[in-house]
Amino acid sequence: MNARLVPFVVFALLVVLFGVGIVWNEHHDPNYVPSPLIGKAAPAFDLPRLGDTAQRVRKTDLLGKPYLINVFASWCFACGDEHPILMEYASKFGVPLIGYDYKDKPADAKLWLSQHGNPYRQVIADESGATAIDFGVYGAPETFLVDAQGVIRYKHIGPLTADVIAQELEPAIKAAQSDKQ
Amino acid sequence: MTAIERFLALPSPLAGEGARRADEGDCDRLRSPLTPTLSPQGRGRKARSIWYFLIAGLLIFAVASPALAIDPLPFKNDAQRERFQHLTSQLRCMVCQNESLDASNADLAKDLRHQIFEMMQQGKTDQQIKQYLVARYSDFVLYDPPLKASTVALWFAPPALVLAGGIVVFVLLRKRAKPAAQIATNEAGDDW
Repeated sequence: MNARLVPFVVFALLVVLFGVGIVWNEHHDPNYVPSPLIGKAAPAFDLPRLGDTAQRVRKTDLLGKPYLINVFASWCFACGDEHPILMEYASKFGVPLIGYDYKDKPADAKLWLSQHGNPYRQVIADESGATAIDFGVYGAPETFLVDAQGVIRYKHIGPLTADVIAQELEPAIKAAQSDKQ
Repeated sequence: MTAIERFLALPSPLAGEGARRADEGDCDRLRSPLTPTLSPQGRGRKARSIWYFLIAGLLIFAVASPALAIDPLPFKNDAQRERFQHLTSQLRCMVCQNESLDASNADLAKDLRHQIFEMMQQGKTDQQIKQYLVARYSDFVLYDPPLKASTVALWFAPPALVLAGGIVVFVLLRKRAKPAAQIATNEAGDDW
């Protein structure tokens, strides 16, 4: 190869490299960190029902069929963006949708749900956020799919959208339901 | 969702305070002693007091560590406090990802600092505490990525590239040195 071409080849390679970098950056959310909990047993929890501290909900109570846990809070503004989607899809998921009220005052959460509507089968309240650390929660809203054996199958960080539900969540739910039999 | 949106989605303990302070007009009061309408004498005295104020402020910031400024934890002794600060400065806050757990004001960072503090009281080692966090938030919480199959490129690509570049430069220089010695006989015209 003619040595004179070397600088041009190097330049072309750099253009390709930077181009790939730009494209990758545009389609990549730096806030998205894959959860190390996927494929592992969901952490054990024992939390009160929202507004009814006498009633506890434990992980063992929910075993036996797949379910979704949606982490939300009345102070979380992205949760407000997500809320209409949850209202629309809650009955279409085919599995129960459980609300996880994260670091919130119970009264605020109840008001928020009465104003915006309640898409959840039941809501558990983690006022201190201590159990949420075990779930690796770092930014509401977050959604977990837990299978019949109590294993976390899928996690979405940030608001669910119709696209995410169709492309990721629904296939994951089907897979979790099918290996139950 | 951008980092800013996520940050805004979490309650900041300082947000309300900052807004209130701005309303009370502290900024105006700080600026007023330097306005030129004052007599030269008064201006000198006031300007000097401003300097004392600034120096005192700088000294306070130089001495206080971020974690202590945010939430004082009841450390048993200085050694424990230093160990805590060293450990938390090596860990990333998942909410504001360019901040360490030591420096971050995010609510989650505060919770995790308390958790780490509790684990220290229970006699957990730094390694055990890091494992606890990695199990929940992945290797991303560590500013120093561990060496494993998925990070081999991260660790070895930079020295490999430097080595490859060095070899290329060496070869080119050797090539150039040879024709230079016999430049008179070089008729190919390849002067690269």
